[in-house]
Formats: sequence, structure tokens, C-alpha cells
Amino acid sequence: MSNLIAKGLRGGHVRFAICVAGIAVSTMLILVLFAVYRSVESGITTYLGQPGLDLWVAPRGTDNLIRSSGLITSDTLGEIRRLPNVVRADPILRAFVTVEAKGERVTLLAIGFRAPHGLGGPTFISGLAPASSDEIVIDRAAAHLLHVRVGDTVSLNRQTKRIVGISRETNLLATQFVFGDLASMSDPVPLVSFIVVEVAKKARPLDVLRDIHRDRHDLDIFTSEEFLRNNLREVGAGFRPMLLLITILGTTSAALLVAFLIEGVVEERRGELAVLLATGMTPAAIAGGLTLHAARLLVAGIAAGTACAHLLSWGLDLAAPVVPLTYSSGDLLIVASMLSAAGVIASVVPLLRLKDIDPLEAFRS
Amino acid sequence: MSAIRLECVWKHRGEGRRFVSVLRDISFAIEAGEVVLLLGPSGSGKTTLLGVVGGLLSADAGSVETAGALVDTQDQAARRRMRSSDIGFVFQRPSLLGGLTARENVLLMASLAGMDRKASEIEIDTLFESLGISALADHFPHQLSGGEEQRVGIARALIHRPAVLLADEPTGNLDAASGTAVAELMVALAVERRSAVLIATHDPRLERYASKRLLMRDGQAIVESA
Repeated sequence: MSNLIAKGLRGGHVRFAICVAGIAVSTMLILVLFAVYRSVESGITTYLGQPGLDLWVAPRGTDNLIRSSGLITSDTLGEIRRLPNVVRADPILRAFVTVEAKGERVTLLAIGFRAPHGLGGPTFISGLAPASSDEIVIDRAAAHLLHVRVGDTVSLNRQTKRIVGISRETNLLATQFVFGDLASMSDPVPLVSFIVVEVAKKARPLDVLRDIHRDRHDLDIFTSEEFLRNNLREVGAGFRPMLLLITILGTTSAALLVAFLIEGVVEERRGELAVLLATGMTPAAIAGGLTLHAARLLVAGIAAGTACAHLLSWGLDLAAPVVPLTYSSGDLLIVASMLSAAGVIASVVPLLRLKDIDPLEAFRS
Repeated sequence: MSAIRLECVWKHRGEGRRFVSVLRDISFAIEAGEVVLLLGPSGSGKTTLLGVVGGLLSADAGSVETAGALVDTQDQAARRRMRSSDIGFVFQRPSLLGGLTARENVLLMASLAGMDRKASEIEIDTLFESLGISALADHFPHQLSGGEEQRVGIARALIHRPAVLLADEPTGNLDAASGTAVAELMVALAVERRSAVLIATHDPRLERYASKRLLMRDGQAIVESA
């Protein structure tokens, strides 16, 4: 019966389509923001989650890659390498650099590592790791912004470098990564930003951490999990308030659209509703039918919004891979649940007005 | 046992200086298959009386028995059940649900009355054929004329074979030819189904179908044989 009531009381197609479009836009807005956040998160997780990066040694006061400050002297590297259970210890130099090519100019987050096989190198889409100081690997989005590809040359801090690879999961939205040999990022290299340590399989990273800390109180040392957490906190710090705000605004606008549609039905179909009440239908049954109507509206809107977000993601990736859009089915579930709950709650207000309809109106309409 | 029986029914409205007795000491009975017209000027209490008989309003004094149930003693839920299973309503404007076809509009009432889907479909076919609207079963209300819409309204009122049919100005929105045809069909089908029929109307053409007339004036009713 709810199905028949929902079908019977549905409004005009145009109004329904407008409401579906509104909910779709809200869905897309929230999903896209989720996707941007997730892709940045995914980039950080992928880079820091590479095998072998068991410990991060940083200057005191630095706890993440994004906003690091201070430097470590290169003799520290020798001390760490001599410790038991240290398989490898490699330096990482982190700096912002200006890269120019074909009239375009971007500022990138440069990661200098012991190329080509040292710890902390890039993950590739295409090409190779840099083998000399005049070779670099650049993020895909940065390559798109600079209109360059593998084999092209760019100016990095006014030094000519050849692109030998394109990296993936290295787009932090506000900036992208560029990788090169330590010498290509700073010449000469007396100091480094971090030392990454690979610990022997049989040993616990925490024990090695304590060993380093015992002699060097001027350093901060993190396990890979802790360092990842710090970096996620850092990239999320700016995002989360905006994500929350857009989610609240998007959800509210979707809820208002649902309330508007149901209110329209209750107000404009008063005569029909009075007839239903007069013939013995309960207000609860009518509310059930209208809620089903609202649910269909929400499902249509969320489905349309999801499809549009997918299309946008696909189109952007194809035409302008500058803003990475990746979201999980869990994110979609969260967005759909929030919008559905808000929509159903919003429809309660007009549904409460059902009790104002006198069945006797059926005789007067 | 009468299908409708009212004894000394009073219904008041308002308070203080606005206090009005809309129904004053009304008593009458209608048997199954009997057709009674409710006549009177606007504001004489016809709609209030229909509301009281249909359990939409409560009488302030007296006793109202509809389809074998004492309406005064019923709670709201029982009254709703009574309206959906034992009473059929025909309104001046049928107010069919715009999103449903003619068949679905009647099917919704059948579903509300707790009828089996298959039996409902058969009954709808029979009613639509009797009412001459079989070809319009899949039409939506906006595709129907006023007379056709009212015929669907009559099918909706009779689908569950109610013991009581209450009609409020059923020909009020129709032209003379349509009105006569619709009224004839409604009365014939209701009588065939042994429904007690109470029709509130200004239309003198309906008098020929009635066995009794209730003349309402200032809340009082005078029962006349037709």
C-alpha cells in the first residue's frame, strides 16, 4: 500500500527532477571533497608505506615530512649505520624548489634521496629512478601543469634537469613531489632533513629507536606508523574543517530539498490526503508512503550524484590530472547514509502537518 | 437491523456567544438497500450529519449506529477500520490520486479494506464494466472528464461492497446529462450490493431514486417518504 500511496502522491516530474538534481549536486560536492582528501591521504600513505622505511630520524621539533624544519649533520648517518640491527640508513633531503618548463612555473616539494636505489625514492607510473644528479622524477600532476613528459628537460632552481620518470601517489594537491639525487637538490650536501632506517627483520624497530635515542637526544625518532600518523594529521589539519563544513552545508541543502518536496505534496494535495483520511487510511500509512517517496528521491539523487562524481573523476584523470579524485565505497556509504538520514529527518516536519488535515475537508474540496 | 440508525443525536459547535447546535435531536434509520436523500440549504447541517454517520465527527448526545457498530463507543482506530471496510464515500470532487491510474486508485481502496489482490482485480473489472469505464482503467485522472472521474470515484466507494454508502453532492460538479447518468449508476450499483445509501444533495433529479427524504433546516431533520 505504501508503494501505491508514494506513487499516487508523487509531485510533478519537473519538480522531482529539480530536487533529484539538487541532491545530486550536494552528493557530488561532498564526495568530491572526500575524494580529494582521500587521494592526498593515499599519496602520503603510499609514499611513507614503502618497505624498508622502518624508522624516521628527524631534527628535534620535526615530526612530519610536510612541514619539517632544521637539518641533521651528515656524520649522524655514520653513527646510525654502525648501530646493531640497522640494515640500511639513508639520508632524505626535503626542500621546496621552483621548477620551470615551457613558460610554466611551479613550486614543488623536492625529495632528495640516495638515487637510484636508496630508501625514500618514488613510486612510478613510467620511467626510471634518477641515476645521476641531472636527472629527476616528477609527479604526474606537476608534469601536466608544466606540459612535460619523460625525456623533457626542466629548470630546477635554475639548473637543467632531465625528466627520467613520472611518479604516482605524490600529489598533495597544494603541491606535488619531485624526486632527485641528493646532489641534484642541494649542492653541496653537508646536511640532510631526515635519515630513514631499515631495521633487520629479526629486530624490533622500537629497540633500534631506543639505541639511537640513547646517544642522540638532539634527534626525534619515529616508527613508520607514528610518522605516517603525524603526516596524516598534518595534511588533514587544513582539510577536515573544510570537509566538515561542506558536508554540513551539502547535507542541509539536500535535506531542505526533501522537506520542500514533501511540504509541496502535503500542501498541494490536501484534498487527496483528506479523502484518504476520510476513507479510513491512518496518518501513519500516509506518512509511510510519503517517506517512501522521499527515500526514492534521495536514492535517485545520491545515485545521480555518485555517477556524476565518477564521471568527473574519470574526465579529470583523462583531461587534467591535477586534482586527484579517489574515494572508497566506505566513503560513499558514509555520504549516502548521512544524506538519507538528514533527508528522512527533514521530511518529518512536513509529515507532522498531516495531523492538521481534517478528513471532513474531503467533503468541502 | 438497520444499516444506519440515529436516535436523538445532537451536535454542537463553538462556545459562548458563538455556540450553535448544528444537529438537533436527529432520529432516523436506513435499511440495507434503501436510498435516502438528505436535502436542505447550505449550512443546514448536511455535511455534519454525513460526518457523524461516517464516524468522522462525534455526536455530543444521542446514539449513532453505522453498519452494526455503535460509533460513539468506538475509538479512532476502530472508526478508521469501520470507514475503510464498511463505508463507501462519494465526494463532490472525487480527488483521485493524480499519480495513480483509475484502476490503481480503486485498488488502493481495496487494499485499505484488506481485500485480496486477485479478488480486487476481478471486482474492479466488474465495476468498471458496469460504470462504462473499462477502456479508461489505465488512464490517469488528468486524462479523464469530470463524469469519468466521478465514475471512478463511485467504483472506489463500492469496491469493498460497503454496508453504507455516503455521498456528498455526487452530481454537483457535473452537467445535467453526466449527472443523471452518474447518479443512476451509483444508486443502481449500491442497491444491487445491498448498501444503505445516504445522499446529501441539492439536485432534485435524484429524488426519483430515493425511498425517503430527510429535509434539513437549522439542524433539524424532517423525514418524508418519497
